[in-house]
Formats: sequence, structure tokens, C-alpha cells
Amino acid sequence: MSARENIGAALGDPKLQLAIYSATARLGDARKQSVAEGALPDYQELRQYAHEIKKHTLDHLDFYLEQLERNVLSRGGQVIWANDAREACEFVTTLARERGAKLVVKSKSMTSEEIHLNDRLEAERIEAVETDLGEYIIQLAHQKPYHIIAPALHKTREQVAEVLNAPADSTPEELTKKARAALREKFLAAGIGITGANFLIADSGAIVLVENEGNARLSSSAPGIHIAIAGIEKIIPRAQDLAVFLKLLARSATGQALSVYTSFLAGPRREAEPDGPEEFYLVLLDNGRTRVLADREKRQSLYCIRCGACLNACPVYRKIGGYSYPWVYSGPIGKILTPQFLGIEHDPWLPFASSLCGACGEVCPVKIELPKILLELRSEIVRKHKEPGERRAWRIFSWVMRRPKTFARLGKMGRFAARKMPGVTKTVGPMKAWLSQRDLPPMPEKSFRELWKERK
Amino acid sequence: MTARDQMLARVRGALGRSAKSGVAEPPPVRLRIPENTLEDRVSEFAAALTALGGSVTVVKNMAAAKSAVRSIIGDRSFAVSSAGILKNLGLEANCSRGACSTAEFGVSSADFALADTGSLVFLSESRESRLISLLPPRHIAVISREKIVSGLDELFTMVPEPAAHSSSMVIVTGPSRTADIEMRLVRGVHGPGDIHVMIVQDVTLYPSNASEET
Repeated sequence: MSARENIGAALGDPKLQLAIYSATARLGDARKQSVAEGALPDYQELRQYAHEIKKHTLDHLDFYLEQLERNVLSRGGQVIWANDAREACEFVTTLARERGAKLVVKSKSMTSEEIHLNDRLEAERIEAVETDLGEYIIQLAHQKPYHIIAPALHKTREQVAEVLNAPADSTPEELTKKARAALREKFLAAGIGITGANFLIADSGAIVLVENEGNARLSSSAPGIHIAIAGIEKIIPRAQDLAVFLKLLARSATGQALSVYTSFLAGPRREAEPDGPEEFYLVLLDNGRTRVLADREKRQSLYCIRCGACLNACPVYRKIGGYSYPWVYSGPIGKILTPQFLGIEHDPWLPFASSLCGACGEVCPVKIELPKILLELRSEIVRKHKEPGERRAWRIFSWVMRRPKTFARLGKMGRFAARKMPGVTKTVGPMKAWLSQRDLPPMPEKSFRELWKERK
Repeated sequence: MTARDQMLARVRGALGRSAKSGVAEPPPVRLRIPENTLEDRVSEFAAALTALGGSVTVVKNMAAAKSAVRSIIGDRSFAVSSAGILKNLGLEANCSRGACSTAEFGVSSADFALADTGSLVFLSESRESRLISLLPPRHIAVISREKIVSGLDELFTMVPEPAAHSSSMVIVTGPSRTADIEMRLVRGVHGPGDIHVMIVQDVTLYPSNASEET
């Protein structure tokens, strides 16, 4: 389906509208309460600090990447550098073949969605099971995540029951129990666990996973091999910086003070430890990130910690939903990442699908200036795609506006025409779509300037 | 050129840096530790964990902990980690993968607890396994009250480099949960849905244990 069709489908489905609206309202309200003055007095200071840490790290990214690599190696892990999606997938499938792994458990990772890892594994006849409950549901339904942190928010419990082969009147508790039992077997049988990473810690050679269910812990602890796939922008310098980022991430995502599980993982299991994976691999993915990095103004797009707060705050996302965006990242962050990763010729309408209300920038925990980046992308797109019609219209507008007499005469003609032919703009012309839902205010006989003159 | 060299070259090109460029000091570490008493921390921890759906019992000594743990478990199955403090429970330590995957209860200690969020912190050194706080549907943690620190900032002050101690440090904040079906909160998805923390006021009654806990 095209983006236009997807948008139409979302707007025309009242049940879906209610689901999106209430889920985003709930997440948004929880966020607001958790960062309120009484709950987290130094919230603004933390945001600023997080912004500065991210800025510092990305401005010196080569240094931190090399430091991270050294430390992962020193903890007994391996680092794989992947220029693009193909190289990242290639590494995973090759390792799975070499180790004879037929079953892979995965915990929710936008990065693996980005590189379409599941399709590649399927093509190699390796079973890849998504283990986050929401991701599991949409994998069974052959769909893609609807929201960064609530992937199945568009599904009703009846639809979930159908997907899980459960009785139609099952409660969320019963459905969850059923999924838990099915997935538990997969965890214990899998040869490889694949996760993303919320943070990469340069001075420790560690990755940090933040989650509520326990599936990321299981994916990284139960199988003999753990592969973490992360974009190069996920680095922060020190373990101690987590004290800031962890306070912001869970609050911005769901309003929790901390997510249920925060795992700080450095390399494979050590000799004295009772369990954990025997092998650990960290795949560092570029896939367009260095292109974003090269733009000094828009580099801050890479500060994103994928909390989803901007989606919940966005009046556009809250109407059109997650499937109306052309790439894996939806909402305001998707609007700025998609054109930068895929090129501005890819879905050039995207940065324009915004009212520039600024809500996304206000809630961003790392202070990415989303509205400013949207404007910059717009001007780049306009410069590249010259719209002759629009340009001419603006030229005429500016010509008229500089000539008061002509302006007055044209205004008179317009008012006359609107009174004589009411409704004509509803059926033809560029205003048709807009006016199909609204009426123009009735046209007055006299203009403001005429009235002004009379009263003087 | 390897992918590594290509990526580093692109990163440096994008930033206008070279392999010899230095690095400025990152912003200074920001850790703020509030002043509060041990009693405050115990009650803050209990309130926070209870609000998340966990439960907390404060007991006087290990003898009281022992009978409390036994009465919770009853005749159901359990796995027990080899943390020092648990030796006095009289339960046989077994935290093998097999034991963890069939037991109804996982019994462990914790290396730290965070008062403001009601969290438990596990470093999987030789004694705490990763799976004992993860596979069984119910989790009991027995900790000495001195393990309770004020919060994340104090934790990262005491453990500035978790990787130096263990391949895994996990911060557990309440029971496993999801809201993936119609935003309805359900506890116990993959990890334990029940968490019971037993805070022992005085573990020194058992001298064999004293050195480990102070």
C-alpha cells in the first residue's frame, strides 16, 4: 500500500484511531508525571547533560569506536564492523551456518528491523523468533512494528487471540501466559540469541539492554552465542554516564523510573561465573549513519535513544499511526531519520507532514531540535525539487502584495466572485480537498481598508 | 580495505578528523548522592518495590529470614544460589540451568539494592547466576540491609566499572511486565511475576558470615 492509502486506512478506522489515541495518551501522560518538578527536579539539567554527552561522543566518534573495540576484545568478545545491512546480515547467517544453529531467539531491536535480518535468516532456513511479546504477535501476523516501544498497539485482544490460536475471549493475562510458555521452549533450545543495544559503553567494552519483559535477558543469557547488533551512534563514553541516561530513557518511554531490567553486559561468561553465553559478538552498523554524521547541523539526529516520546506527543502520528511512515522509524524521529538515511528523494513529502507544533522537540530527552531539522530538510527538498507552479504562485503573490492598489482591486473582485458564486471553490481548484470538510466564512461587502476609510 | 577501515575513514571524513586527532575531555561525570539514613533507605526501598507489585519483609536476623523463606516456599520447588548469606537458610545451593528452569522459586541474594526505585542489582560473579533471578516464576532475594544504597548515582559511585567485576550486571526493578496487549499491565511475561525481598537487619548473629557481609 502507498503511504496515502495507509493514511486513509488509519483515518477511516475508528477502532484503530481510539487504540492509537489512548495508547499514546497513556504513555505521554505517564512520561509527563514522571518528569514533573516533584518527581524529577533536575530533569531539565539531565536533558542538557545527556545532550552534551551525546554531542561530545559523536563529535569524537572515531576515538570512542576504537576505544570500545579495544575493550570488547579485552573482555573476550569480538567486534564486527558492518558498512551496511547486507554485511551485518551476512555475518549473522555465516556464523549460524558455521555453528549449525537452526534456531535464533531475538529480542526487540529497531536496528535488526532496519536491516531486515529476519527475512535473511528465513531465506537461509534459520528459524528466527521474536521474543518481545508485542514483536512476537506482529511476527506471527506478518506485520511490522507499529510503535518503537509498543509494537502491537494497533491489535485488539481478539486479534491477538486469533494470531496466538487462543480462544477468542482470552484475557491479556491468558494470552501472555500462552506466549510465555511457547517462547520459553524457544529460549532453552536456541543456539544463538540476538539483541540490539540501547547503549554501547566505550570505557567498559559493554552493551546495555533496557527492557521490561525479561526476553532480552533470556536472549543474551540462555543461548551459547550472543550477538548484539547496534548502530555506531549508540556509544557513550563511560559506565557512569548511565546514571543520567537511564533516568531519562524509561521515564520518557513509559513513565517508569527505571525499566524492569537493565542489563550491563561485557563479553561472554567468565570462567568463575555459573552461566552466560560462551561467545559474544558485537556488530557495529553504519548503514547510512556516517552520512548523517557528516552534516554538522543535522548530526544531532543521531543522539536519539529510541524512547518513542516524540511519537506519543506528535499530533500527526496520533492520527495517521505507525504504518503511514515509509521506513522502520515512524513519528517525528522517523520523519527526520528517513530522508537522511535513505536520501531526500525518498518520500520527499515526509518532512512536510508536520504542523511544526514543536511538541516532539519539547519532549525529547536528549534535546534533539526536531522542528529545526524538519525545516532544514524542507528547504533542502524544495531547493532540489523545483516546483514551477508553486514558485510562480509565490512570485505573483509578492508582486501583488507590493502594489496596494492592485491588491485592493483584486480583493474587491474576489469578494464579489465569492458572493455571486458560493461553493464554487468546493468543487474545483486547489482548495477542493480542504473545503470538502469545511466552509469558508461568508465574504463581507467591504474590505477592512474601506471600513477604516469610512470611519476616519 | 576492511570494513573497519572503511567505516573509520568515513567517520573521520564526516567529522573532519584524522587518526591522530586527539579527544577533548568529556563533560565531567554527574553523580549526586542524597544524604539519608539507613532507616530511610529501607522504607524508601520497601515503598518503591511494593508500588511496583513486589513485596518486602524486614526481618531481625537470619533465623527469622530462614523461617520466613521456608514458609513462603512451603513444599514447592526451588533453586538456590551460592551467595554467602544464603548458607544460613539451610537450603541446598543449586543454581544449575536445569534447576532454574524447573523450579517454582529462585532464591538469591543481591549485590546492591536501590532505595529510590526499589531495584535489586546482581553482578554475576561466581555466586549469583544470571538465570536464577530470571527463569523461575517467583523470585525471593535475601539481602542484608546495608546493601541498600540511595539510587543509581550511588551505585555507579561504588561500582564505577561493572565490567571489572563481572560479565553481567543486571538491575531488576520490580516484577517482569508487559503492556503489549491493549496496554493492559500483565506481570510475569518472561521473568518472574512475583518478587519478594527479605531485608535482614542484622546478619552478624551468625559469625561465620560476618566477614562477607561487612
